[in-house]
Amino acid sequence: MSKRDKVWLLGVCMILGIFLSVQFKVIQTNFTSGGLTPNQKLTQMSIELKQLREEKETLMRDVAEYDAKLSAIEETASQENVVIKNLRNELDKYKMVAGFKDVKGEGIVISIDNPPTDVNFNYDVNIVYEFELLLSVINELNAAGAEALAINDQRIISTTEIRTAGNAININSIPQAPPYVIKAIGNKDTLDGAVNQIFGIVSILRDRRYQVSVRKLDEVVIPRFNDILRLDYAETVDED
Amino acid sequence: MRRRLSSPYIFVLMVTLGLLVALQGKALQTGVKYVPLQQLNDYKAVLESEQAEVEQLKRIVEEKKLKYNEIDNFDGDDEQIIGSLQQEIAEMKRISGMTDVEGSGVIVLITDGERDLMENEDPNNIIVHDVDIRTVVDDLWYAGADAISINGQRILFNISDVYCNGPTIKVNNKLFSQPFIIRAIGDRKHLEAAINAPGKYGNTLRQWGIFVEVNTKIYMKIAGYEGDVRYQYLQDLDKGDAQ
Repeated sequence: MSKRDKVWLLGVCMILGIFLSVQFKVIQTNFTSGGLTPNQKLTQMSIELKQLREEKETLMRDVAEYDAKLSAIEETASQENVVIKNLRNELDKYKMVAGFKDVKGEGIVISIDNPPTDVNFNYDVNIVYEFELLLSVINELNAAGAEALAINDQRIISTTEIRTAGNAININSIPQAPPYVIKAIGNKDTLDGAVNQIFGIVSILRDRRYQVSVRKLDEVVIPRFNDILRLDYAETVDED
Repeated sequence: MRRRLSSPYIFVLMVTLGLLVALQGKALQTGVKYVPLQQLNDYKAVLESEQAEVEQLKRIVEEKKLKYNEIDNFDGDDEQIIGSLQQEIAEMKRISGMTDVEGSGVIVLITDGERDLMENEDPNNIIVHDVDIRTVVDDLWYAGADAISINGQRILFNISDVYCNGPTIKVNNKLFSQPFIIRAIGDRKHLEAAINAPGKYGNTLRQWGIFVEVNTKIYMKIAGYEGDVRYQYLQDLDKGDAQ
């Protein structure tokens, strides 16, 4: 091998070395930040999401239309008949208790989010895997006299479950990802005081590094329970 | 002479080339952008929840259609409208937990453990706490329970609170000491599995040394919610708008 060849070889090896180190560096940064992927898939997903949202809009409009038709029939009937009018009022009352009515009132909004990833901590804190904390928040709010509750706009009704399922928490069997926004209607000062109590639920959550914010609002709007609830096993006991 | 003439030409050409390369790079960049996996996962989560909601809405539209056709067939007959309203009221009462209900289900008995403590062990390990009861109840909801009571107190997730109160537990503002008897109406096999299956909270409690027993029952009764539900702050959104 001539001296000239060796110099060439040295040059090629150096270039190769630089390539390798750059490649390693790129892969390393991708790995620590969760990896990169072409945005083609994301575009596809966002199109799908848009379609779903449009479908949801149409369906919601259908529901509203049928509701309007139904109440129009009942309205005309109730103008002639007092019994129907009273029954409708009673139905409204029980619908409210059951959570089948959109409601508003003063109350608080609590939002709970995962802490940003921190290199100083090896373990991951994720509210998804600590659903008991959400149960405690709901319990605390119930104890403080909350009159209506919702997590991420899923109305809490008598049989609602809060459960980790995969990478999300199922609420009314709808998967919900963090952040969790809990809305509660009731005396806003009582509710706020109950969750912000010393060593209370907010400080427990903050101790675990979750990002929690509590806001007192004069008007909180909570949507109705948006599904059909069928109780197949529990039959009403005949009172007579 | 030739060299002296060409250098400004080359300079201009090089600048143009540089600009073109930069423009080309910029144009291409929008096409081959890369996104972090995290963002993809977030999108996936949103997609899943939207899909589930669309499914629910489809069911509701179906139900409303049926209801509308039914009422429309009455042709303004008051008697039939009254009947349908009464039916709906009864259904809402049942769903909201204001009535006594009966059916098949399970009875879960939970008591403090009786095993000897290990050296320096915290006695709290074998004592039942409010959070234990809450999580077991949540397990039962998740398994599709229709109605649940603790020591005879109907549990409604949107109203009831379960609290640790020293040696006793407060349910719906009434005090109970152990043993805690949870009744749940629903599919017996599912409910039994919701306590006994590995990974379920009931099973975990048992491993801590707390006494947990499940029995299925073909028939039992669960009382309705005793308290009065009175709303002070809640307003009906539909009515609020109308006023």
